Amino acid sequence: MAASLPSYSFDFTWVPAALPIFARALSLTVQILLWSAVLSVLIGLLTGQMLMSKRIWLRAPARIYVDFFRLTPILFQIVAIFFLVPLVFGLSIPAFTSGVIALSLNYGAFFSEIFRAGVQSIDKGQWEAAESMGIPHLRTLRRIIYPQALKRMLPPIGSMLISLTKDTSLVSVIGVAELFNTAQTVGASTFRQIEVLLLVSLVYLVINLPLAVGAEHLNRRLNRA
Amino acid sequence: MPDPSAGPMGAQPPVAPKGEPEVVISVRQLRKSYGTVEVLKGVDIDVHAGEVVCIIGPSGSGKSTLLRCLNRLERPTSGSVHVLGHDLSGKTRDLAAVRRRTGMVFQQFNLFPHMTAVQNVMEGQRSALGRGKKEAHRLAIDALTEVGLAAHADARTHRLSGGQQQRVAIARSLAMNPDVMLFDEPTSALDPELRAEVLDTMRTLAAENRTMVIVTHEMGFAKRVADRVVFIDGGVVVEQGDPREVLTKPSTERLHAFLNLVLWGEDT
Repeated sequence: MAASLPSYSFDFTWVPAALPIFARALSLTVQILLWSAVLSVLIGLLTGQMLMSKRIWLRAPARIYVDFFRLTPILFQIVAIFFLVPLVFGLSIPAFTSGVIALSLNYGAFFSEIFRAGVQSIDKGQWEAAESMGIPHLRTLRRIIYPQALKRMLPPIGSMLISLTKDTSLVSVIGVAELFNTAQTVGASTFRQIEVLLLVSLVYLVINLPLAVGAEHLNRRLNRA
Repeated sequence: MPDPSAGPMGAQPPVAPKGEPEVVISVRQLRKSYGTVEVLKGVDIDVHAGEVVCIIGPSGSGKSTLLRCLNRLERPTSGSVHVLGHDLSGKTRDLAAVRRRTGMVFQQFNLFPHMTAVQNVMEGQRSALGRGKKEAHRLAIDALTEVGLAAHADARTHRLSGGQQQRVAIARSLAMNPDVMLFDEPTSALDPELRAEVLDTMRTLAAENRTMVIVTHEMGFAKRVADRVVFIDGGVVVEQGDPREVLTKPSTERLHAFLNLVLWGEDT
């Protein structure tokens, strides 16, 4: 099991022994991904709505939050939250939780803008028709505005989720033993960094490929006339 | 606390004398500005139960703005708007209650494109009136039957013609069983050959003694169907009265000029 380039010979003989540890790492990566995806969408829905509020005391904090998390490096946010949360709240939280919070806040800021843009792209006549019948605001959002906006928001939501999958690797810097962190550990102990990274990149591809295909499929189905 | 409805004009809904139909809409000294532009400059209007009122006037005269003040899609700058006994001019908690009892039909239909015709007609009943699915469906089919579209109940709305879409919109409003129906240029977005079916539908409603306020450019329809025509120009009511009088023998120069323009295309 050794292919070779002129200057390098590949060696994958370490793979069987490393499989259990990579299985655990994959499980962690998937958990980070799922938690962050759900939380960031919820944060985005809430803050996106706040961004559109007529009330300045709702709009201003949302604007500050969104701009801060969109316009500063995500790596910085992950590290900063890991060190800041224990200082500010006086309790230490697991690196896993801290990483999920950072990813959720960062992606929540982007989802916020996606949802705002999607809702605002819907013709105001839709609002007026609902208002003129006395349909309550939240119900109008849920039954009339979001079903239409979702069609338009699906492509950006899909690419955000794909990007989130890849960005879970960033929480390796605070010591969460997810795929990338594990890849470095295994790479260092086997001296086979190139092979390890090749293998791990394939795993990200395997997670994201169905996501990309699924988003595209759903997009086509929703936007079919 | 002072009564917020008692503005500087002390406007109160006038009480109808015995024997006369009840006043359902009462507008007093209504003003509406957008920035520095004043669109309505003190409008007074009453509408009685069962009355069909057509509001006519040149574009930009403020007639649509007036109509949209009647269900607070526009907020009055000053003056009073009483609809079905509720004051809509200031801060109001009754807005949803009034809106559930007033229907509106828009120039651009504003149907919900992700729903079928019957789902469109059910939505307000379900989401605003809290009717159950079965009842809403039955009443939706009734309303679609009344506008002649029961056969298209399950059609996606974009498959329907413009005239059919507007009739679905009328059914959507009708199914709420409103006490007042507001029409904002309901035929203006339609090709001429599609207008008749919508106007016919509206004539049927008028014959059922419904209270209707219609902003329109259809002079023939106004003449035949309206109980009263209100001519608005420059943000004020210039002239109003029986359509056969007002539209044939206008007493003001401005209405005379307007009628010449729309009926004959002449600028006098």
